[in-house]
Amino acid sequence: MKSKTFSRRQVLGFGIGLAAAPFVITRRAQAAAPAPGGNFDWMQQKGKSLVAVAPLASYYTVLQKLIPDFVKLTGIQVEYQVIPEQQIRQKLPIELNAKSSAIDVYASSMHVEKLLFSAAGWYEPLNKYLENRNLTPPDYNWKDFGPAGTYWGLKPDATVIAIPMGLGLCAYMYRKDLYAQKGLKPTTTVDELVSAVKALHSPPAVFGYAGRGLKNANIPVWGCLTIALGGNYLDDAKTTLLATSPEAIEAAKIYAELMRNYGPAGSIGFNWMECQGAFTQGIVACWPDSIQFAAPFEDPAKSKVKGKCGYAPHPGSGKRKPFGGTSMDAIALNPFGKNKEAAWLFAAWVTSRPVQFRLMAEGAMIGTRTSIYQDPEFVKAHHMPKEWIDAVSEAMRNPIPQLPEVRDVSQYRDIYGIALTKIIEGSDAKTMLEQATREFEPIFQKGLRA
Amino acid sequence: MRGDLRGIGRPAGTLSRRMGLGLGRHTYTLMIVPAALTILLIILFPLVYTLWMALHEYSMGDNAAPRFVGLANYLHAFRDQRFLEAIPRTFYFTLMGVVAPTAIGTAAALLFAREFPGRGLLRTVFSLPMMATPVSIALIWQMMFHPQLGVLNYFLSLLHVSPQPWIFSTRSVLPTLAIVETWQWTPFVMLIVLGGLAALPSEPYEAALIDGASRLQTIWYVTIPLVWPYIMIALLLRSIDALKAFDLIYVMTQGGPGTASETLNIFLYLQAFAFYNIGLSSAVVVIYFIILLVMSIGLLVARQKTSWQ
Repeated sequence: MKSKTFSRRQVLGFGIGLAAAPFVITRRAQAAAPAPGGNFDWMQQKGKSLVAVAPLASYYTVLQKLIPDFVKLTGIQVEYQVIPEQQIRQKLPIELNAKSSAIDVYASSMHVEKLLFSAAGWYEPLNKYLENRNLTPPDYNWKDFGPAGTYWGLKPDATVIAIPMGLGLCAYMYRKDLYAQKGLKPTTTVDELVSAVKALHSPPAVFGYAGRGLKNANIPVWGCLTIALGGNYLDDAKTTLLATSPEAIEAAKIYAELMRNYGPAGSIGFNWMECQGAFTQGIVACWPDSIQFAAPFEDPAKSKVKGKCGYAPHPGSGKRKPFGGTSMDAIALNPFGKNKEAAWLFAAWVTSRPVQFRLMAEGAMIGTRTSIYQDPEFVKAHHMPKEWIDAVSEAMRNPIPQLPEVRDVSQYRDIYGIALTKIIEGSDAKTMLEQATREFEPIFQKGLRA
Repeated sequence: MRGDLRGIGRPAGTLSRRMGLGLGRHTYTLMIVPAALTILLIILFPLVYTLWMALHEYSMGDNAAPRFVGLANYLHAFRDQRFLEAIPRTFYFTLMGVVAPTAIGTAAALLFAREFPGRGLLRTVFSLPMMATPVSIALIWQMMFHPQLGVLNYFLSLLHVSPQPWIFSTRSVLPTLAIVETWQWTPFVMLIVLGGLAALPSEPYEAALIDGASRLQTIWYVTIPLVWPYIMIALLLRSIDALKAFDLIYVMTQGGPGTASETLNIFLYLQAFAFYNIGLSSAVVVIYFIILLVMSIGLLVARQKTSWQ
């Protein structure tokens, strides 16, 4: 997951010498930080106008409130559009495919769009802005973004294509009061997770487990279990599908058993909202999923489990230590935009430490600027308990993508998601995953060729 | 007065000359060109472009020009198991989403056609679902359908009925979605039928009264046949709407669990906007359009046959 390892794998794929690659890439990534000195001035693009689009999320709504600060700081006018996620995912490819300059800055879902948009040339390379001391504030500090974030913003050749914003972090949420009642130790492995689920399952008052069953949404749940058992979606070179590996098949069996026997009735149609609702109302004991969904648990107006929740990285196994399954949305520039330098100033401001601090504290964003997590002021300002912040920090120390890094990730999620639904309903895991792989393999190969 | 009417009925050019405008016949033809062009651009161009795209392989993000593949996209669609499964599923949902609102809507219209205290208020309340936005409706019903926390299963528990999985089961998802569709669109049918009832002549009722027909016999043998053309209009509009249903299904289930509620509309949406297969999705649009056209023509013919003789 560290950029050095990632880069080497990718460089192998591109046929560049193994020994030279980490050196070259590390140097480029380091070069992304601006040189000291320079003549940076926030007002340098005064009078320009920008269009920025972002998906509907709590922190982008908080950002909307902060825009007047940017206008005051730079003299740049911003038309800021917050669009529901499904709509922005349609809008961006249509605008960018048409090489439209209507958008200057956009928030990109890197876990869905990174490979597709990179291949299509829809990200403006940002190194030249980051390295330009006249365009990047001297205190910006690119290195402050930890590997969990920079991984998603870098191409294999270390070109910066987007600046990290909110991290999706698949971890583990559980009822620590119920754990204490049963004398259970904190869960660090999948075996312990299964044991805890079985021990705490007491329907209809409490179900041992909650998980997303709806196709598409169920992929990270199964994927993180596969990763936990030592497997992954793809091999190291990212050229072979591993969905029929022993780990993936075992993970599918465990997932189906937990869903079928220990989840609330109807789990097969659950997305994260239904799981979140069930956990908030105190009828679920264990929920491995994105830790940002925990926000309502600690809200006394909405929750029956305030103060009763434990948080930890996603359980691992003998082959894998506990980890955080990551996804990311990041700020990118439209390469066809007409105001790129002004757009860059906006991106630099949004991802600056003070703004990130506020988005994290007020907008429940899981940012990746590591210095913020070490700031006592942040713990005081955040509404979540310190235990949650510690779990986030810990999970971010071992970040692994929670979705496959394939160009056609939506089709992967669709095809394998349907297979998983059938497995929950009782179909054989190996047969279903093999069938899904046969269906997806040509799409995967086409993506590799692209 | 006679002199004032002399221009009427003569060619427009003559009138314009008399009025001193200097407009010829060609000028009038030119004046309809903008409107005609607008209609062509809005209706014909997308249709022709879709037909053209359906003959090409094109995916957004490929950085390659569309490649002509002939009828390959159509063949691909008809070999795709999901597409083939989506067709009967769409008709099943349409059938439920048409029959139930039509039956309940007609019954409601018969009820609200009669005078009783509070009729206006109740009729307004009954019409409310039709006015709400589908996405909000979908989100509210989604919460109500939650198997453990939803209010519907709570009500069922009061009646000692076991909890239902509603949209969270492959078996019950389509009938459940049809319930929401029925809830939303029954008032629409009611309003159409109510309009028809208000326009009915009184003579057949007087004749039925003289013949000693009971109230039920009057409804069955007089009212229903008379109002049938209006019911057919409701059936026609409802069928087209139910066949096109998208927002409710997408928000509530996204076509799931699995593909249990994946109708043609959801299938083509995924192909176009999730997988960016523009060529294939265009072919599906064309097939869908043909289905819609055939069904509409069939219903229009049936509607013509139900006119009063």
